[in-house]
Amino acid sequence: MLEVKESLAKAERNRNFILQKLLQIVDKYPDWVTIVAFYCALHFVDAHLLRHHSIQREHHEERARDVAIYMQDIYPAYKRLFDMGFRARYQRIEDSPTKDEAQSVVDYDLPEVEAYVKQRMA
Amino acid sequence: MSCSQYLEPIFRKSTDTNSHDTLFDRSSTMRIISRYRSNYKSTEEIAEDKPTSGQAIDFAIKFQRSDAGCRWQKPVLESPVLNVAQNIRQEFSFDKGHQIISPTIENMDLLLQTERVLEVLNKGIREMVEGIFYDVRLLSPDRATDYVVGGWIVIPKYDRNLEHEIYRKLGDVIRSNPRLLLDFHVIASKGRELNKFISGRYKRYNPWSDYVC
Repeated sequence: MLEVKESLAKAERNRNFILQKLLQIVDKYPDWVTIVAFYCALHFVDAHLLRHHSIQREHHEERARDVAIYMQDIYPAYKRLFDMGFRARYQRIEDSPTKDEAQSVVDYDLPEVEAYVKQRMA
Repeated sequence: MSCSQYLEPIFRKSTDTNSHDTLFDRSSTMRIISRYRSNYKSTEEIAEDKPTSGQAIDFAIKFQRSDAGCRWQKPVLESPVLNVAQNIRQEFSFDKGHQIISPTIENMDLLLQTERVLEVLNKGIREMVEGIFYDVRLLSPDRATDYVVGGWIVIPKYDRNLEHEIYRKLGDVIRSNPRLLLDFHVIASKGRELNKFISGRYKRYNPWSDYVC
């Protein structure tokens, strides 16, 4: 289990990887954009849950429930990131998120999660 | 009447995956569970009648809207949709490494609670979606008392705002039932062969093609 600082560091590293590298190939690999975007969001959420609620989770379902209860404002964005990442990881290539879907999670959903967490870390 | 007599109509052998009979008939099951609950005396007394480990609850139901008037209705039992739903239930659970729960007296309350949660969920989102598949499974083998209700919520086409609205409804359901773990995914049906999307193995039927409103 990671500490708050470590979770934030991983989240930022993933976010930078998306912005600096993955978006250049989003046309060809939108699935990988969504996968990294989801894990970026997951680490932001983990940092918040540990800092403010002393919660550490191993199961996605439990973490998602905690987000719905304690981070209500970003639950829709987090769940959407989760779903895109899930589809990219487990479904056929043809059923992975499209370029538009990948771009939308990077433009809207991930920044929403990041801003929510960072505003409350200060 | 013994427990097994009450339960027999709804708990089929899980190995019989090709039969329409393996599907869960919701209304009759609820009646049966109600009758059963009103009659049982104690866990010890009915222990001998518990279903065996080879039996599983078939808990997949597809809600759909009809072509005429977009009315919410339950599927026709003979529809191939149900056969696919059954397979999806198994596939989904196995993919996730989870195990469909077996019916016992201990989890009857959970099943009833699940029914109520899904009723609320359906009321909240039914105007927005084409269909819902779901099942109930254990969270993990080492967490044998924790269950997850999860599945797929199908919307007509990719729409970020609609997805967010559905997730908001899901969040409301979770907050009002914090004991339950929900794991629903929203997917867009347009341009997809959903039976393949969800199960990966079933190429014969496209269960959604006849039911798009």
